[in-house]
Amino acid sequence: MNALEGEFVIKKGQKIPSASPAPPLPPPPSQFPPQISSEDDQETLLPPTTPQKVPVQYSQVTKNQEENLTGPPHYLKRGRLTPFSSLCEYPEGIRFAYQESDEQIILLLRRHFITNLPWIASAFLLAIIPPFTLPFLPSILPFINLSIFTEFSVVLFYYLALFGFVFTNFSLWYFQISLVTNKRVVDVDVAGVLFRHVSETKLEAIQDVSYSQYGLIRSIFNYGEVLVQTAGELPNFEFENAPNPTKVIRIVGDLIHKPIL
Amino acid sequence: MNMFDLAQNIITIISNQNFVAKTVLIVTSVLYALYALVLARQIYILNNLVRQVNFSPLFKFVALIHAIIAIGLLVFIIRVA
Repeated sequence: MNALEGEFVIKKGQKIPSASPAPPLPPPPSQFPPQISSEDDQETLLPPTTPQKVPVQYSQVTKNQEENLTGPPHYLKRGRLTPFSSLCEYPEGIRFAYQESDEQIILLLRRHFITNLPWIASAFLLAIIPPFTLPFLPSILPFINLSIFTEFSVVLFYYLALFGFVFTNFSLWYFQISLVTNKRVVDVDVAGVLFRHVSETKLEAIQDVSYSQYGLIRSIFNYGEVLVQTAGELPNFEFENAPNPTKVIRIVGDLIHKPIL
Repeated sequence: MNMFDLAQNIITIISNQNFVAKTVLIVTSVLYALYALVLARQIYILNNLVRQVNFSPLFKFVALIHAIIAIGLLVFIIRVA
């Protein structure tokens, strides 16, 4: 007797199998074999024992959600970097040594510009002192007798030194910079012309970010000390007089996947 | 030359205010020129460390001009003043 397709045939002497969970019914002929349309769909048909990576349907997420998946916070906007910027997000036109090709600077930090006020005020005062005092110098110090060329040289040297004072202080502010990239934090400390200290740490090594803001001036101009604590014996990072510290620790916290605020 | 003549010469030199001022100015200018050169060198190094495309060339140029003016002033003081 020819068995029809789909029928069970029990031969003589064959034991009938004990009751067991019914095997899964095959899908209707209309759905089997399934129609595979793309490679993504093929991945979803892998056996359940195989570790399966859930494909992300990028076409179904919005742009902001996509940025969230890639790491950097989505709420940051590309900032315009000027020589006087003290806080800039996604700065354009700046690179640092040893920057990797796929490394992107997310945050640039310098001391708040208001911290330059003391030396700017000093320089201004020093600049306006000679024009007011030199005409009266012979009457104040009548015993000084210098040639006109020597006096001219002294004045020239005075203003050159004053320019050097301004240039040095601006350079110290300009190069004391902290960079937060999508891979690491780089901190450049410049204290004086002959001292510089460069340190960096990977984002994975960062354990905590905090800030402290104290004093009237810091509260008015909204800047403070941001402390980046790293794991183990690695040195901690301190962003001195960082503008908008709340925003800074939020960004760094999001980068290390530890929301702070 | 005895000690009296030596003291007399020193007093004569010191009493020339212009000479003393010029000497002090030259020494200070030499030190300042060295400082300007070191500053320029440091700025070149730091610009290589962190390079802002638009501003770094200007920064280097200003540092270089500053050092050149410092040396030029030293030469001016020595030769002219």
